[in-house]
Amino acid sequence: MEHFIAGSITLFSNPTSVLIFIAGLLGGMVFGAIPGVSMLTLAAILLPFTAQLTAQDGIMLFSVIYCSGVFGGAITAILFNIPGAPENAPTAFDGYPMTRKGQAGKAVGAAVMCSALGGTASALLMMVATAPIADWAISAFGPPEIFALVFFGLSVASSVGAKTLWKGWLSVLFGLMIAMVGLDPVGGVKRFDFGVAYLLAGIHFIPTILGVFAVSEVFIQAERRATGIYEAPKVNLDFPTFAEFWKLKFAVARSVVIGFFCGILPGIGATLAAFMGYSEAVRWAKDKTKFGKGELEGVVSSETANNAATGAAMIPLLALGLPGGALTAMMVGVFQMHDMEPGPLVFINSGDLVWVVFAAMFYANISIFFLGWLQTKTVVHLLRVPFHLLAPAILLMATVGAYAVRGLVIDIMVMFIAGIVGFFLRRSGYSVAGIVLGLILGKIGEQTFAQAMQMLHYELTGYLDRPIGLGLLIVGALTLIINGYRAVKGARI
Amino acid sequence: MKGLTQGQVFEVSFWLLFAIGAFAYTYSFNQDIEIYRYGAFGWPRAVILLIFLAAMFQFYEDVRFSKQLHEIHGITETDGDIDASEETEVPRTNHFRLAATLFVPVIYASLLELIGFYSLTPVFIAIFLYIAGERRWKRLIGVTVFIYVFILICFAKLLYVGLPTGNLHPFYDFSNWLLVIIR
Repeated sequence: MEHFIAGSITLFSNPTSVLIFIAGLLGGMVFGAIPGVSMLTLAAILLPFTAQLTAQDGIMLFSVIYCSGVFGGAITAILFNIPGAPENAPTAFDGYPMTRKGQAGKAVGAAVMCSALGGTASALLMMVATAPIADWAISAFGPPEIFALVFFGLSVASSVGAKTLWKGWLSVLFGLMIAMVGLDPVGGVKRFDFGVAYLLAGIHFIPTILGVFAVSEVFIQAERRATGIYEAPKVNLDFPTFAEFWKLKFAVARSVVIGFFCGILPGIGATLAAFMGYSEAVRWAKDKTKFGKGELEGVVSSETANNAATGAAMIPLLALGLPGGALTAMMVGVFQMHDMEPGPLVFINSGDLVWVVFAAMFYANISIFFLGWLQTKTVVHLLRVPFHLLAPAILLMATVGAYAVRGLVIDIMVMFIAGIVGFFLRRSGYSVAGIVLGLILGKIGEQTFAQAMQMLHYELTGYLDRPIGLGLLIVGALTLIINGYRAVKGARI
Repeated sequence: MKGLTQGQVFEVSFWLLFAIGAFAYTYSFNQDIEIYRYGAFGWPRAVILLIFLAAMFQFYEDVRFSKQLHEIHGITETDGDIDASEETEVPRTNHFRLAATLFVPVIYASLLELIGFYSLTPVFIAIFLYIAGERRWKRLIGVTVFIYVFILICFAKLLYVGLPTGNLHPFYDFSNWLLVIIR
């Protein structure tokens, strides 16, 4: 506790540090909301300038950007079905239907509260448990366990958002197919490139996500206008009540654990945390069919989990020097610019710096609550603008977002084609959530499967010595079998 | 097969053809990898097989569901989220409008490399607003200018995001001139 107090005093006693804290908070929130641009662009722009700052201020800035950036993308995900970043995609699954039902204020308010809660809980856990958890996570979790986790996530994802289980599966498998385009992760063999150089680098998930979410949504609303059945969403500024939140206390607690656990794993991070949090909410629900149609628990689970991953992502970075994702990889750069190496010695040689960062992340998550409340009362009014006037702005923001990823015009074309494909798939009862999850987890899944098979000498019985992986595989398989049995036996009427 | 809609038959045909085509294509990269038993084709073929199975199960469910409907009500299922009842004729202009909505952005994307973002975007905004049903000229022009200026200020001036300037002579010059003014 005394370390936390000392870190807080160090943070707030320096006006420069306070200004950097505020700039990181606001910048992360704004950039996080812009699809394709995201907090990573802001971090990349600021990286060279951190050489002018102290090591403490530089690391603190990036950690605050991480916290507020992960939250920032939730607003556009809920209001316009445009996730600011992949970790906000599950928020759109139920957040946007809530907007269509006139509950935008409630959805945004829930995202604000849960982002703050998840991030704060994660920051507290991070302060208490960094060293022991880092040791356990790195030794207990290898490619076999990560593959089992991906398998489990995909098995649950197939039951989300589609008209039937089989369409859910087809959506996930279609996403896995898209992820295979390019070079295979083991031998670098060209696959499904059709002789086109662009496809060798694979189809990037940002233009695809922008296409199947934002662009297809514009097309769907345009179709509704064309057939005369368009209904403008009602604007509602109600914040969720305490009673509504209290009913979801288990979902929040579960999502904090899931998010924290996923955040610790290097390379996995907030994206898988958000999808796993959402998937578990569906799995535990008594009535799964209400998800994807505007269920508050979906928004709560996703946003709690993705922010809970932020504190956890600092654990492998600070304790072991292993970056958990792109932003934490840039933080390694900040350390190196100041002649420091992240790892166990950071706690011994620069304990003050570590506790300033912990304190900054804690206060950043608390601040999200207040800033987010302001956003709830202001940004929601954008819904009053007629959709046909907003549509070109949405398409252009998505265009810039798709182009900003790699500077390729063809990414914009991929986005619009993904939008057309998403439009037809959604009309036919398929799940864009499943496609996105298959796309994002496909590469991780194949790579870890290959590594797992090599480690286990191609014998699945090797999982008997790995209880965590075995448990995840069994639960995933049971989920598939039970869902499949219900689908085959059950009738729709 | 009685009672199945055209859409359902098209869907299962699409997935089966997709799976067959993709499986055939895996033979173009079916070389072995020394360190990995399943090669570059193992994972894709497993996924394609699952697609085939899922499509067959979906088809089985469609057949069973339409049989049930036929037995109970003597009716067949209609397709899609939007009510496509045969009694209601959708005006041809609406189909045209929908097709334009889908393909104008694709045409915009295909011309970006040549004409550039800065020259083409105001035209795209105006056309898209017109297709979306905006007929008030003052509002159409006003909204076009507003969105264009907003995007330029946000991305070109504040965020320094590089956008396509175009390859063709007058458009390239215009883009660079505009960027000098903005920045």
